[in-house]
Amino acid sequence: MHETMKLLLVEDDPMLVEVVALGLRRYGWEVDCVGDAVAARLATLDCRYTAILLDLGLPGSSGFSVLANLRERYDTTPVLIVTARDKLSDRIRGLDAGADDYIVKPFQLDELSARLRAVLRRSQGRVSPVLTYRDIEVDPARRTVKRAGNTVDVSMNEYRTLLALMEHRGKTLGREQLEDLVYGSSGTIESNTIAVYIHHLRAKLGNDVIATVHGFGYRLGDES
Amino acid sequence: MLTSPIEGPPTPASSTNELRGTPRGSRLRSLRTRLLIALSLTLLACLSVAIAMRLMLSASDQSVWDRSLRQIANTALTSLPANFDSILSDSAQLTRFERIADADSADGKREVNVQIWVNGQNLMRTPGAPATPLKPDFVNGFADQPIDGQVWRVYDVSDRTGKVHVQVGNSPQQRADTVLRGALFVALATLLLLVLPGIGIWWVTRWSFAPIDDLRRTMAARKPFDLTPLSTSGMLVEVQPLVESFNGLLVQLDGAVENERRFIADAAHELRTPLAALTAQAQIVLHADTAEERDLAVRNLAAGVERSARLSEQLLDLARLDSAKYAPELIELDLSELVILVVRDFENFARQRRQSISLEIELTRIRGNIDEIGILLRNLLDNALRYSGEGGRVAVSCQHALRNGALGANLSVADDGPGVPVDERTRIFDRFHRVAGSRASGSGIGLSLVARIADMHGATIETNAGLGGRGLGIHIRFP
Repeated sequence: MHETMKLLLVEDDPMLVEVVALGLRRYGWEVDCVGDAVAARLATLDCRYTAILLDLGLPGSSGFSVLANLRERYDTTPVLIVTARDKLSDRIRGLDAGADDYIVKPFQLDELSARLRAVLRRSQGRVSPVLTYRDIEVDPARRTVKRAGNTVDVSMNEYRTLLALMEHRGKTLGREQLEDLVYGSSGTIESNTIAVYIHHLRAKLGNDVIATVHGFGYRLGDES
Repeated sequence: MLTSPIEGPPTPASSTNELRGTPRGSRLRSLRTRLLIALSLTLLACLSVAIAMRLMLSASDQSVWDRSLRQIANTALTSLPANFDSILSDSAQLTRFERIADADSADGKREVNVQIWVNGQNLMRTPGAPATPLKPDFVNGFADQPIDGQVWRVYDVSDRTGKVHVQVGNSPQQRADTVLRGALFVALATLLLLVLPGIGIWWVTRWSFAPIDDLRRTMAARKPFDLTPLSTSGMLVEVQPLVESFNGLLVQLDGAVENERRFIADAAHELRTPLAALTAQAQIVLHADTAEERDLAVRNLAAGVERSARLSEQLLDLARLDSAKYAPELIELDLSELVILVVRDFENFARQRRQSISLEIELTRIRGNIDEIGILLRNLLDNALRYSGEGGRVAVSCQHALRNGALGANLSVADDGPGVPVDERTRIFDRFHRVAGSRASGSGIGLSLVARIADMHGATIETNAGLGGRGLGIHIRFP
């Protein structure tokens, strides 16, 4: 990424704004700050940001409205939501509403930077057109999955798994690779979650859509 | 989708109750009014029927009038002395006789008119009676006699000799008057019958409710926030259950207030040391001589800040659970999705300590509260990672399992750290308990939160050795 990384920080606490803006600038980001939902909406209409850091704890739950507004306009700017530590429900709600990832307050700046990078990496293919395979249609711009014309309900991680496989169609992706693509995992967590998502995807889209390559991983489509 | 749709802050149940509680009629809320109304309606109904019946009978039943006429005539006749012949000539005796006759007919004076004829001569008559005979034909019996333009009902009776005739009669006017008088009397009686019980009820209820009034005064006289239970001695039997349940509420409230006081005291105590340490560390930074010293001091300060922040968060979680006003709103959710989210939070922390986390999950449906399960998971993982040490491993798993024939959900977190001695394993869930000799900077609150939340979800907790026989394994089973 050689373009300037422009970040929109939507945060109403002045101390946090100062610290985060300063910190991220050192990581190479150009940071614009707004303090409320209305200003955020105007800013996103005004110019195109590389990513948006949105605090869901904005007064009056207006953080969610920013998110909703973005997705209604099919604005696919990657959004990283900042959530409170004891409000898991907010986090889930935000992710379901279209956020790309989250970070929990209080956070460390290096972790924030790492997650932003991961989000950017994942969104690289965002401007590409609709991906299709057999009767399955994945629209990255709208984050929808359709099978034979009917919308299929998938969780965020299931969607990401499918998207990763579709984008690397024909290639076998290992578990760790998939984990990295799905949530930027660094290998600290060893899990069977990918297997679980594949299982769910097969249940929803058909058993023969994703092939298991024993010992190596999973593949969508014929080997290329 | 992860869970059933989350709409936003839930509407408190109390608002719908307020809508349903609108009074249908504020008048009906007074016991006295209720009693009065009920009694009045009953009396009114009975009396209306009685009055109607009486009026109907009185007005139309000729025989009632006739009977009374005859009765009065006979009474007057029999009360005449046998030797009235001689009385006629004696004016003094006559006067006395007249008085007696008057007295005899005193009752019927207004109702009927009486004339006494002897040999065709009028001996005496009541003031309202005409001078002419009521029944000119002097024939015994009843008749309708026109007199002064009105039709009177007249009756004649005579003695054996036929010399003495007693004639009685009443005019339509008199009848009407009688009926009216009767009605008035009934009305007055009704009024009294209504008013007297009314007053009676008023007084009785006042007397009955006096203890309640006393209660009210006792409570008003209490100091603010006095939560001691009310005495039920001398209380009315009907009111006693009410006072008892009210006392139950007071006990609950008292408990809650006491809990809060205790919590604030505990929190202040717990925070004192870490905050003091922070102050000291900051001082060290300011007075550091070399860059290395300052660096080290700042790192310590950062760690201290983190520790204090964590403690504060946990205290707040504790306070939040303590003060839960409603039962937590449980919804259907997938535990595995929550586990994945929370475990991710610790990835950075684990990586810094070169720890690894293994995650084995399956779709696990339980009824729970997302935020609280989040707190539970976070504290379980935090605890496991903290005690596991550098390079350690933590295993997290969740799945459905059959136990005693019932399908439940299992959540397990196990580490390979130093573990906890068997005899201490139940106590680790006590508030502010810290395992002796452990070097990790725990607050003692984390696992007590876990126990609280598990309890709120009806889940049981078991502990055993962790991974490879070392460390601690905590297993939570949801119904």
